[in-house]
Amino acid sequence: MREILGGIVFLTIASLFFFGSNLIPDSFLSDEVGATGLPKIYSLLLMFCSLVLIIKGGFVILKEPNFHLPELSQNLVNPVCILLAGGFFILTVERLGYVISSFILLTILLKLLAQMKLSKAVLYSAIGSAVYSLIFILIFGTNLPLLWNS
Amino acid sequence: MEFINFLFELGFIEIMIILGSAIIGVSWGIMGGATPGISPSISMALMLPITYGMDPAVSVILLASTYLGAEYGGSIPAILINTPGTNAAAATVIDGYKMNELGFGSKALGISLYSAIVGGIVGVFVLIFFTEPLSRLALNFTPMSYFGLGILGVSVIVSLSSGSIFKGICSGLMGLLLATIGSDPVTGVQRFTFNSPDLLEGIKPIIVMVGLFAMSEILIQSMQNTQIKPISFSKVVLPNFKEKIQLAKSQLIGSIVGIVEGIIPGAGGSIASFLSYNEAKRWSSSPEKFGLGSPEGIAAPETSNNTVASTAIIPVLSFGIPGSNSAAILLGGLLIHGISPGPLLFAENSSIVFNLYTGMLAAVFMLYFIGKLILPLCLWFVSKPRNILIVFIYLTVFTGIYTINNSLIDLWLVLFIGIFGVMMRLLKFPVLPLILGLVLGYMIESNYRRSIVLSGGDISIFFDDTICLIFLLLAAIFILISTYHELRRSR
Repeated sequence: MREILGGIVFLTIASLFFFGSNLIPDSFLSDEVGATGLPKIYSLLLMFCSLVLIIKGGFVILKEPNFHLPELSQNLVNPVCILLAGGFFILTVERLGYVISSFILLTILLKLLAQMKLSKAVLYSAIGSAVYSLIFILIFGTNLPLLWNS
Repeated sequence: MEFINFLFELGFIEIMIILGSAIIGVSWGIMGGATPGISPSISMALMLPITYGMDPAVSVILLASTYLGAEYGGSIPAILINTPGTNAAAATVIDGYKMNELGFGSKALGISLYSAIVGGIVGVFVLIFFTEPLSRLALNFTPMSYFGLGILGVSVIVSLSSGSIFKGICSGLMGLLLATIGSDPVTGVQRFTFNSPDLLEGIKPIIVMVGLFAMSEILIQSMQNTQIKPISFSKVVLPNFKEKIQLAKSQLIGSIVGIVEGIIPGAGGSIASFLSYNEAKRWSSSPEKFGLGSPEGIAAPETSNNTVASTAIIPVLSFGIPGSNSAAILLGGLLIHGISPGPLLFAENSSIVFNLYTGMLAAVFMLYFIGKLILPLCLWFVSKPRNILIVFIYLTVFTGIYTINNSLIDLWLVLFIGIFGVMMRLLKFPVLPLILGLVLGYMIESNYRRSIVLSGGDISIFFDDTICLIFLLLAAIFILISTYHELRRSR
């Protein structure tokens, strides 16, 4: 089953690249291969290998009809929380500034993932946010947007 | 000889910078390695964005010493809680944990540290002596040879990847396709960029590495509810002179296996440590003690995987072909500073290579002190709930990636590549071929097209070039053998 699912994902990606390469503009500097040459060859090869995987997986299912889905019954709430909190961080870091965004990200995840009490999560987040800002801005000299609209 | 002159010319400040980088790298590596689930490659991937703005020499020393430290760090939970911190430390569990159960945990940690230092010294000296002669071979390479080398590099990793060969090929092709995103190397035409200036230079390998290694690991770890095992405080007790003599044979075996396995792409520390464990048992005067808490059973794999940490860098520096995840990240560290490995590396950036050698030597010796000093901190880390660590590692990833270009697209990419990495890992697709395809994609495409221009469109040029022909034949043999084995297995 893993072969079939993986094959479908890679077949979709390969198709997107193949048809997407038709949109690449021509150039008068182009050589024999051209800008579209290798992307098309790679995507065709990827389509072929994906199909082999799908067919192979199909034969396995025909042989053993009692197949099992990959273990997706695991705790999916935590990764979804992480992704949503990450998305929130990306959307806010340039508006609210690094200190506030990282503080919110840490508070949400410490509360939800580590199941800390809110007061403890806020304390840890405040310290974490301050330490990260100190390390990245003052020590490494990076230009993170420190505070709101900075 | 040049390296010795370089050592004598080092000033006080330069020595302090090298030592400081080695200390930070080793400490970070040991803590990462000691945390189960955080492999050497993830420790390095977390370090990679931080090194972006640093001096290239400092950056590579930090990455290489992280690799060395993590290989030792992996043995700490292997010995104390029966959970290897890294894949390569899995063989150490067999006798290490048994020794701990028998009340010799401190001694087992000491044997592991001592063997890591021995393996590290051997590995670094092999690295120093073999890298430049090997890279001189590449001086004879034509564009066709480089194309063949790129294809061989991807093929070897694909064929040695665990699981299905077709999964490995899909992963490698995916990497090659990702490498086509950005400006075309010949005409400069934009490909798959959606007119975004952030994608003009293509997807940076650093983003993909952090996404596939660190981000996907964060997501996978967060799915698991792991129980924290209680650890009693331990200290490191190094072996005495007599014990060191007794360990010498297994360390010699571990070193030899580590040298060979490190240089071969795809083999890596895990295979080396199990192979050296088996060989040490076969050659031991008391093989019956293996599995029951034999010090030799710790010395062989630990020497071996720490030798690999250095020798795996040889093909990276000589040809630009990484043989393992960690070596691929080190290559990424060189590439983000615009340094191309290969024969010209010694002509154009010899000081960076010599700094790397010096840093690795310093890192090996620092292992002795830091390995002893940092143990309480490692134990504290290992005993903390995993989810707290995940949260802070997550912020480290985001902050590090954002500081590279201050680009929000990079953050979105890391998030999506992380999800893609989770899918690959759940569906048992190997990740390394994708990384290698991405890293080598530019080399393959630019040299392929240069060759085609040289020949006026005639592809027989690849078969007329002897070196290219040898590489392509080897690549075909690797793929055919793996396909044959897979067909036999499926029957």
